[in-house]
Amino acid sequence: MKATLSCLFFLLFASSTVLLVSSCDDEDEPEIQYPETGFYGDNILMKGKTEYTAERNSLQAKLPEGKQLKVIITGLSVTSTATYMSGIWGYEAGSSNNLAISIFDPSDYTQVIQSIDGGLTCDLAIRFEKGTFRIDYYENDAASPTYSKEIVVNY
Amino acid sequence: MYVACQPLEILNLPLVTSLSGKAYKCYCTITIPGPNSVFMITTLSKISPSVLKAVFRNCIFLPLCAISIMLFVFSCDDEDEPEIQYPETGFYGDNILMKGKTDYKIEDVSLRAKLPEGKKIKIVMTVLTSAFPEGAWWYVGGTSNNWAISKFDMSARIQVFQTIDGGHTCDLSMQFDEGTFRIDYYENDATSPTYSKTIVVK
Repeated sequence: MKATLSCLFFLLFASSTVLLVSSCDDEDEPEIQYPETGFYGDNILMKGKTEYTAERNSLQAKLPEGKQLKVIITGLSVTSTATYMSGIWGYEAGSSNNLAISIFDPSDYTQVIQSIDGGLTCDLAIRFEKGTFRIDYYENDAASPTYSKEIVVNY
Repeated sequence: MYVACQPLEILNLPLVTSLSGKAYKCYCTITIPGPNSVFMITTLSKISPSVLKAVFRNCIFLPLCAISIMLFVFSCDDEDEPEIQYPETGFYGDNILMKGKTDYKIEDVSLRAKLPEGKKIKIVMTVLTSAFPEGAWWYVGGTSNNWAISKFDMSARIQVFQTIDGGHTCDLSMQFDEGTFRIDYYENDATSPTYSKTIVVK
């Protein structure tokens, strides 16, 4: 009887320890999240969403620790004259959080937006003129886009 | 730190007794130096005293109990949860959020809060008696850290500042015109202000 109980205690303790250790070691690495909305409106990074009906939107990504994101926005319906360009976008100064934003490239109508630190939320108030835009996602230093979508902004 | 575990008394619980005869109450105490340091865990055992003694003699239950309690204690949330801090000054000047401070000068100020992990805050600023619309406040673009800032509501004369990530410091360079302004704090998703103050800027 004593021996049985001793064995039972040992088994219980061993299995508890194994369960504890295995529960701490999460094999499913957290992924970058793109919520439906950000602080400033609909999230233009939400995967699968291609139609936007407001000028003002959010560019939001929630980065797990150690993750990073680069986004390239390309204007697909830009019209340009010597003095005027339409079908483009702009962002509100002071609204950027955890994002490094390149200068808009007028030669191919692109702009690169990169996350700064993992483990933080990126957000930006971004305004689009009416038009069509491509968004390429380069997650975690990928050399080619890990996801792409074309969005239509009409309001 | 020491751990002690021993059966102290036998309980007569009718419900349990009807199923298994007797139930025994076992107290385990773990003592850690410092205030509020004694934790007491009570477990019910359906094992007879002789067997319990044998187990204790074999020194099995003691380490098991000790390890279990240590795991339990360390996994529990700290009762003294860290609070959001509003220092006297921020990166850009006096901290407009410091609780209790109501008099400010017309100069650069900070909107600063130090957020513990998992904490958040929403600040609603309202113009009360400033020479609106000429006089209100403004912030310096590019100085915002960990704040999401709404558009200024011209009709209600308010602006909302929300923190983005817990565990980080929020700061913003601001300046106020002369006037009186109310600041409402909504800490951790509160639906009504957890703190309010009216500041006077001269």
